[in-house]
Amino acid sequence: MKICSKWVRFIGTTAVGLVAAVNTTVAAEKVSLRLDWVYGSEHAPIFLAIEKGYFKDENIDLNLMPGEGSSVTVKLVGNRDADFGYATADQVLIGAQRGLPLVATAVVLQQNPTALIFKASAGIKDIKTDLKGKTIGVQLKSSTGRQWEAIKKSMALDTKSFVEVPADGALVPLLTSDRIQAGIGFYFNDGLKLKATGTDAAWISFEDLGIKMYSTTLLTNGALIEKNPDLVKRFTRAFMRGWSYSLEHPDEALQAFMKANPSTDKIYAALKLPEVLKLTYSADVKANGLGHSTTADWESLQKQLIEMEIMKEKTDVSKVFSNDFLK
Amino acid sequence: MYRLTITAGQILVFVVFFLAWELIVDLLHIKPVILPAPSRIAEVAWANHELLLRNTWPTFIAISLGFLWAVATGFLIAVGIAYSKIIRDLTYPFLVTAQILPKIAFAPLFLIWFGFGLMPKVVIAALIAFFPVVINTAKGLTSVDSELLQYMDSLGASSWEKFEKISLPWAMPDFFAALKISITLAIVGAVVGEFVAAGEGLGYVINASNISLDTELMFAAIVCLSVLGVLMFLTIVLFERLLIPGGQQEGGVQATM
Repeated sequence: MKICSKWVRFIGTTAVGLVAAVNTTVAAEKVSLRLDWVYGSEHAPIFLAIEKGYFKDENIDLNLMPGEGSSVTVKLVGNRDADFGYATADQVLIGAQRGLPLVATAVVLQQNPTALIFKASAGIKDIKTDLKGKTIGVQLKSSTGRQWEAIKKSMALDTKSFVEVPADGALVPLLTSDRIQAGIGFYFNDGLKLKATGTDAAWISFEDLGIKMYSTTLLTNGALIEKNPDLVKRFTRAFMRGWSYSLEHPDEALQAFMKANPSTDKIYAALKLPEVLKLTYSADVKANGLGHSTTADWESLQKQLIEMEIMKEKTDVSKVFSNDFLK
Repeated sequence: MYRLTITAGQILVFVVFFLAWELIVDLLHIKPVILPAPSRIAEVAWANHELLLRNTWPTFIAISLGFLWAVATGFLIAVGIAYSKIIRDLTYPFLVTAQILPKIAFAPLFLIWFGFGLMPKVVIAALIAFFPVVINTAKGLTSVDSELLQYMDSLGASSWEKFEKISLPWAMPDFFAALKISITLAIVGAVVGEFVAAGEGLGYVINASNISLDTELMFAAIVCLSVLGVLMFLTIVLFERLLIPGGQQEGGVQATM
């Protein structure tokens, strides 16, 4: 009997030892994150989080991948080809309405970066009077084109007084070559790219013209939340830690980005990051913390998307976002 | 009898393909936004037939103009290459290099060089459809049986007669083979042009349906484009049958389709 219990104890301690050994050597969870677009300094806080080891701290082995537009990113996350995605709120909402189980766990960019962009020399001050005789490049295959339609309507612009041309993906060269005098795009992309070429660029933000919209969000698949809510929490925490630190130390974030992407246009990258960081603020964020979002603002986004005919039917917005993983 | 069986078999391949597609989507519960079933695409295509037809026309014009431009210039250069050693030696390395160049990558720049509307689409279509015409036609013209030409010489035929009676008919199968490659390339070119530089056309519909994640409409537009492409291809096959005596056609339809 004594021998027996000795054996039991021996086996017991060995087993505990083995479990402990397995625990310390357990591999970090492999998690993939698909961005909205190719790497740019708007993603600098993510590169900073990687460099600082924020993901490692949460036992996450991050596989970061560039994107090909938010519409592709939401499909990949919806189809579980990527665990997390970084994509615009409008595409998350439309994807959810189309049956993809998407949940935004943080609204990182709270403001709409769409703007009417032009050379300062074009002398556009008032959108109602100063567009006369101008040629405007519109990206018809982007939701920015639909926002422009909404602005034309809401501000009752005289559409006969200017010419609109399709200008997808080539706004900056069209502006510099004077093929167009103004264009609709993201000011932190096209506006600053224009500035980086040495041209004095200016813009009128659509947010200021009344199109208030959430922009880029961190999102995941509802099935992952159900299966592993702890991972979603840890991932969101590591991700947002990168953003909070970058807001305090933008230079470090820029350095982390440039180190990971040495061939980048450094002037453009340096111009872009501070503008992007500004977009993370809102009254709600001030009160409730970075990445927070409200039902009212998601509802308002949905209402605008339906008015712009980008979204065909309503969906239950309460299922599309969650603040639970920010706590 | 064989012809009839083969036709039935060809249709069957399509039927099997679409049935398998329908079944896979249904069994794996794939969401329409990821991959719509053929039945769903047909439904959406019918519901949007006006939009699709309206946008087929500008694409058709762009493909046709690009293709005709490519064929006309390609043919002339091929004649130059076939009849002048200097032209051949000077231009051949350049043509081969230019053919390999991924011209589609320049598409966004065409907007800046050629402005908006029809022009950039036609230029891209013509540019990528051009090279097979030159290279194939030149090959056809230069591979003429030299004994035939000597025979014509002995009859005292003029250069034009030799070209018209011997070389040109001899090159026809190669020329038509080139046209069939060219028309498919012209379609690709026109659609790429519409991706970057258009507010209308099937390429525009394909791209624009992306922002509302309307994958069904995107597929419907692709189907339209395919039908348009097949019809244009068959038109060339028809011309080939009319212009080339039976038996000489390059492989016939079955081999090239």
